[in-house]
Amino acid sequence: MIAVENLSFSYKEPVLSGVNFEAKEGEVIFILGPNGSGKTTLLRCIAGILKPKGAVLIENQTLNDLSKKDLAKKLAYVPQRSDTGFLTVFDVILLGRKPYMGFGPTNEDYRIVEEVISLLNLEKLAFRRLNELSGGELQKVMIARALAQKPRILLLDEPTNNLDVKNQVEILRLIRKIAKESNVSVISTMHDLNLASLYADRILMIKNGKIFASGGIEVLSRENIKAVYGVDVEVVRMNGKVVILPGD
Amino acid sequence: MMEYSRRIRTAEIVLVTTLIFSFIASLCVGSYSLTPQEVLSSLLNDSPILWNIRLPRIVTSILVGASLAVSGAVMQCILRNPLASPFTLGISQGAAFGAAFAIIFLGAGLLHRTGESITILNPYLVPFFAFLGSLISVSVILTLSKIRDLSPEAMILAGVAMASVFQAATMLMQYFAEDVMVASVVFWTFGDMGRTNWSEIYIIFLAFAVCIAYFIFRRMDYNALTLSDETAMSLGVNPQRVRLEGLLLSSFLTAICVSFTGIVGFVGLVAPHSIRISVSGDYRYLIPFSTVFGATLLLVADTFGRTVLSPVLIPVGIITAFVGAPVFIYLLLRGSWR
Amino acid sequence: MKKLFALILVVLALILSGCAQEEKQQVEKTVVTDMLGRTVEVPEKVERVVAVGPGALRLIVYLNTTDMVVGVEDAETAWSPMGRPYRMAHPELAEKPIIGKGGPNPSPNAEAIVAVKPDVIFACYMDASKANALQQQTDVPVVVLSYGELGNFKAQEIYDSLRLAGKILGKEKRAEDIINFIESAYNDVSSRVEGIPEDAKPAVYVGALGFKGGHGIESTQCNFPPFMAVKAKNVACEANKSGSFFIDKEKLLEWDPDIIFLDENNLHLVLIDYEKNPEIYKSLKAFKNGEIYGILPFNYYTTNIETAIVDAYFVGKVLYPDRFSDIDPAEKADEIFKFFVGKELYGEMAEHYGGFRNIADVFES
Repeated sequence: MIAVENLSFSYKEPVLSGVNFEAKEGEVIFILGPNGSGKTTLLRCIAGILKPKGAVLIENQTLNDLSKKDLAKKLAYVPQRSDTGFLTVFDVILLGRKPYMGFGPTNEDYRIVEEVISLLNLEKLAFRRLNELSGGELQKVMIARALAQKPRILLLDEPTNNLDVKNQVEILRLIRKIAKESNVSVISTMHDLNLASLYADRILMIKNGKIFASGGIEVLSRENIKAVYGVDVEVVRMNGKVVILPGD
Repeated sequence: MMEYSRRIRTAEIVLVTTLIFSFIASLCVGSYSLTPQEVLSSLLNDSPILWNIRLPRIVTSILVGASLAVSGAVMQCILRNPLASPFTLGISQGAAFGAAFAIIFLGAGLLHRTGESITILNPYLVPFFAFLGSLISVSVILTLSKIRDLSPEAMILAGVAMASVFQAATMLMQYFAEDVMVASVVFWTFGDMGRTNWSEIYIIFLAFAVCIAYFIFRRMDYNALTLSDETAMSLGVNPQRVRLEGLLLSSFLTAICVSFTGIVGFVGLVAPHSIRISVSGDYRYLIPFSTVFGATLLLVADTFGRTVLSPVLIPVGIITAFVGAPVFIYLLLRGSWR
Repeated sequence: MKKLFALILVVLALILSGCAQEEKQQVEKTVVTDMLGRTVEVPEKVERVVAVGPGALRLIVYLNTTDMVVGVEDAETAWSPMGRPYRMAHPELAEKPIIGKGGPNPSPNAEAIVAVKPDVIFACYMDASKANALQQQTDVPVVVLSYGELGNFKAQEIYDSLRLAGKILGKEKRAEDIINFIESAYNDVSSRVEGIPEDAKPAVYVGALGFKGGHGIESTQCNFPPFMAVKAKNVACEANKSGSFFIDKEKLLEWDPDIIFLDENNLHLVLIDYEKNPEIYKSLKAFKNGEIYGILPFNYYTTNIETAIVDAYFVGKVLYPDRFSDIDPAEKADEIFKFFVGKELYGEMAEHYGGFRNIADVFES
């Protein structure tokens, strides 16, 4: 589906070096790592916003082979924050159809927007303006916009940032549901280790621009967390799930 | 869904009806009193009052109002600055400076004088220099927005500074210019819709048609840009390109208007914001609605200016400033655009 | 929205097709060249005129065609007529319909002009593009006249303008009379001072001249027409600058002229300044000797030619009394006013401004 091969990127100093991983259809991958470890930069490289060294292959085509429009049909990216403003929710979700548009939206575009709205239960919000929405509602709208792109790959940057527990859980369930039902590969950065462990198929731990560990929830070990974040934690396993508690 | 599309539909009908009504009303009023019947019969025959004086003025107001409003709407989006407009960014003043420069130093647009050979007038020289002048402002704005992440207010302060520089430069030229030239330069400092003829109107119309077609073509890109550059890029939009083209075209349109009618302030600010607040911030509607509303606004202001103290004409720029400055201050105080 | 766009297009197409047609008129026409070099077609018989811009109406009044004026700028009704003899002598001008805003940047109202149906529009201080636009809008020929350099009353441009307007209005004879009058007055004044050696002439200075508003003693001119007519030794000519300018008061102390003339219209500004700083004034030779004289303002909505000539006689009388012994400036003034605008106005102006006299007494507080 998507493969990242030997990807390196530097602004003035190297941010990412030699990153390799793959994501399969329907797989949910969480990228974990401390602030400044290069998580967001990695997403931006994959999304084609930054131009890295190395290769990103999407269905066996490199990013350079794809036009911006074609890329946008295969891959959707939800940055950590967006500006709000006077656009309505409907308008924003319709923007997801932008890569498919010639001069303007077609009836098919409107149909897909309505489909996405009902999938995410956004009917009541559809004609509210962005600047009237709460944080959780805004995040859902941005995900809805990404879904309207009908992507094969969905990149999310801190989708649960600034949300309360209810909204965090709701968003992560939604992401998982989308991945499984529509066979979309989801690659998301994340801060909350517990939440990541609950909803991930696979976890990548990043340290100083390199993949430190990757695999199932078993990589969330005491040693790895100490090495990556530099803190001591208790890792408690119960019913096949892990709970990570800051140690003392 | 129903409510929203009803609001759009209502706005469309109200705006277009108001424009048509203002058009008819302004045709019927003026220093030379004509009854509606006379207006109609003069329209069918050609009477100089309507065809040479009133109608050119009205059509100019409509086109210039529409142009400034759409330029403002686009600038507000591409600079992510709700206070942006040709006037507040110093682009109009730059254009006026360019036009004044062409007239005083290159003798464009006038003056065969006694005893001197007749200069061949190049009608495009003044608009061309107006465009060059506006580009000075544009390049400063672009540079500032690249170098530093300026707040919208700071950007407008930069615009104020630019406007003062251009005004000082224009005054300096006036100070050393001959009286007759000064008179023709002073005219740029406040807009006047009464000096265009049909061929100039045709030029404004062409510029307007080209630019609005482009802006409408780009309307979804503008919507994408309101979210964030990253989002726009992930949707296949090239923000740099859209921004540069939009800024150049809106400056070009402004320069054309300024070179034929002088500086008219605040239409580019008031029209898009009124639509954004009352109808929609979606550029699919914002562009056409602001255009129509801006046209109506300037037409009404100009008609007011030529009737309220008739037969003395008040330049329309003075009236728009009286209406626009309070709106500008309101927007500053409101500050809820983030 | 596409509908709207189409609508605009249709309206525009209509408009463009409409203005293509042109009306033919069966009036005898004659072609003249105006002061900007524009060729203009005017009717043979002109009976109704309007004048736009600074000074245009004055030339029409000089030509004794005030009765042809069918509309005036708001300046003629709103501003005080005092100081503009053409308007003082013809209060009926204030009753005419207004055809636009006057002032240094006139904005004629094309509709109001069409409404009074003039045969010709005379304009001053208007550039070619504006004149063409007005002509095209009103369908009335616009003839641009000129005063030449501001303040000069013996200018070829004024003569040409008078001849041009005279020809259009059927007043060629009157135009020549005016020109001869100006020429002979100028020659009269100049010939009287013939033969006075340069070092026998008193050094003179003129202050408080109006220039885009009133100013104090610092406002002066080198080529001040009344001085030029009597070939006075003007200290300000050291500045080597044409037109109106402002000098540093220190410079005036350095020049220390024998005689100072002050424009009576701005005398109050000089007085205010005097109150603040009497020492500077008192140290001037002219003030010590009481050689301060008032002259009538003649630059008001461009040059009031008759007042300038009147001033020239008074300046001559002050500087070289023996050469002007037969001249009574007040009498001469009325003769000149009578010729130009048809009314003796000196009394009225003297009452308002103070008239031709030594004004040293007003500075004694």
